[in-house]
Amino acid sequence: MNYKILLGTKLALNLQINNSVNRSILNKITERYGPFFVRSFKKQKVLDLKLVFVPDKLNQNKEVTYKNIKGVHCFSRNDFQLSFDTSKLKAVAQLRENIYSLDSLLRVVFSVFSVINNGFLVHASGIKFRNAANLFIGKTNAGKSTIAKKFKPSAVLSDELVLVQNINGIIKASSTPFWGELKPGKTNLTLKLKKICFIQKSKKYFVKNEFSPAFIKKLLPNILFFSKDPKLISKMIDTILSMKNKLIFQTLFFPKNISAEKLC
Amino acid sequence: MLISHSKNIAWRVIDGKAYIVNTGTSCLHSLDEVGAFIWQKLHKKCSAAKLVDLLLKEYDVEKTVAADDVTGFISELKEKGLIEIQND
Amino acid sequence: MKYKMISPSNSLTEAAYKNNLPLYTVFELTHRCNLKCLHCYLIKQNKSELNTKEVKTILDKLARAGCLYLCFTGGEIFLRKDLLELCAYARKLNFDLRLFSNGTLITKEHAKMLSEIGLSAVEISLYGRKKSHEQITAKNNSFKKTLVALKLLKKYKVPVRIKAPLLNINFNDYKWLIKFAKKNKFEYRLDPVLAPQNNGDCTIQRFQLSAEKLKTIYTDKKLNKYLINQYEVSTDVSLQDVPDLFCNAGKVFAGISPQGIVYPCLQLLYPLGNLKNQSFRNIWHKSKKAKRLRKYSTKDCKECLKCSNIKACRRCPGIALLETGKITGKSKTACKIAEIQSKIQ
Repeated sequence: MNYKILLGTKLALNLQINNSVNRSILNKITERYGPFFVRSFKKQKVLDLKLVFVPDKLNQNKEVTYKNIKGVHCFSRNDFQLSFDTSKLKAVAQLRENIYSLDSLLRVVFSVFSVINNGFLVHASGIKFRNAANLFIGKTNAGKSTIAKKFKPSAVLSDELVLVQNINGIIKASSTPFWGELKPGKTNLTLKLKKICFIQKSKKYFVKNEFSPAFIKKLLPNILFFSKDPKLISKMIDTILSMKNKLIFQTLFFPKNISAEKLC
Repeated sequence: MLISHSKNIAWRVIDGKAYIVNTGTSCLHSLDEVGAFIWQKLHKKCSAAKLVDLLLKEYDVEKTVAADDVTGFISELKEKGLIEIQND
Repeated sequence: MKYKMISPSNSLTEAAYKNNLPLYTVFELTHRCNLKCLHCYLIKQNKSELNTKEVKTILDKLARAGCLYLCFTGGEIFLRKDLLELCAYARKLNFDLRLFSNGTLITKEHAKMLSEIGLSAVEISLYGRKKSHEQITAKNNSFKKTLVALKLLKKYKVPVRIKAPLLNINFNDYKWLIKFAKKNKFEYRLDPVLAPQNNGDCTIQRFQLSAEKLKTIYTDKKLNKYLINQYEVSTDVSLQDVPDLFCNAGKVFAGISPQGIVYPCLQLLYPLGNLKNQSFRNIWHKSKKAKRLRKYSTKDCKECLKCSNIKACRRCPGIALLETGKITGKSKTACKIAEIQSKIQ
């Protein structure tokens, strides 16, 4: 079974499942990733990912581990193993046959794929406001989903992971199929990114502007990234630096009852 | 609400998947790995909340996603006649 | 490896083949019987049978080995006093359980309990109307007793399947059998092929239907899906355009005798080992005999390779072994059927 998945305008993934599978997992794949399916790719450079489902746990690692083996990026956890050759745009993976493991695997795949395409995946709620995107960044329990719930579903890029990319000098934010508390939306948006807010729950509303290098320090821990490869890290930093002077960076202290208008 | 296997079923878990026969209809159903995991927990009466907790311990998944999945799964199994639901 | 979307049953079969799981097992609990059917393949021997505890231990092993579909057969299983206890135990182990019986010993209490235990079916041997039925069972009043059993099972909502071999004695009753089954909403299966006795004695095959009557059966389109397909063709066709002359016996099918001997199936009397002194795992997965059996393929049946009827052949290796002494032997029963099938197709 072959799936063509496109995140943003550049991240083209050709997902090939290589063994016989239950209909139920295929239904779940369509349900979760359907808004990102395309019939064909245009001029994108396509990543080929071959997947084989296995019945048993692969190892004892509860967290994702990383190794670079002769230039191939290898990620491993107890439920998946991924080998990603970024130079050839080829990857192979073994994983347990369940949608949660597949979701985790694809997050890792896109976390690397986005970096080599001048971007990254960031833990954020992405909101469309006046034809541009605002990101509300924070880790678990920071309030991303709380903020996302204040907007209509069609305006939410994701309440968990947003794709940020520098495309020909313009910083753009795109929807992803990776959601948190909210039910995955049916929208697939790519918008010019206007503002990034680092969020913090508070009793009172307060906004503080952030400048370089402070915003880099705040942004880095919220980026989804498992590799320790210096070349990839360097590429990611370059992308972050390219955002300087193109976006507004703020730290937003917000009370629970804050209105949507005030957020944007 | 407590959930358990129906009486008229036969089943095995093979290669991580559960295969369940509704002996009344002779219909064979299969469940994927997550389904098989939940299915095996239902050999004793279990609440939906407990199933969500067990899922969260076993898999890397958000609580609301797990809760949604458990709800959907229970209603699918009920429709196929594979489980019994007892109100507390 | 190519991807494919598969149904639950194909997925299960594939997993069973891949792991050599004894997915379907027929467990002979006894050779004792209260009838003396003319076509019976069993040889009466005074051998001790497994006791309750031994049967339960084997059931535990079968469940762990991946068996899902289990059948208790005999002889006549209702002669075992522990039958209901064994049925309840098997169901606790989540087997899909069927019973094969002549029905003559089934009481109201049995039917009630079987209904509570929850079986997939009780398969009752009914050979035709009273005259032909009792001619075959060689026991007066057996027809009435079987009918009483059928009524009781129906009353207590136990699923029933009627089974009958088609012999030259009851051939004229086959349409009656179908009508009777349909009227009572029973499933039915008819088997036009007679196997030799377990000691290789082929005299009972004198009751085999003639070629002309076999042709009638095989051309009756209403009957096609109700004929027992004794010669289950493996999903793995090893020669292009040629059926596999070896079935699923020993691959996903297993048989166990009342003495605990494991066979690839109860028709293929090629003993793989004895559960009294070996584990099921060792017998099924590690024994030399099991491994050798699984390596057999069509190309080993040298006498059959040039046969013009090979495409229609549904050869049973078990019958071949009884008739010729070789698993790869040329079975005259299979030849006879293939000849008729070739002319029909």
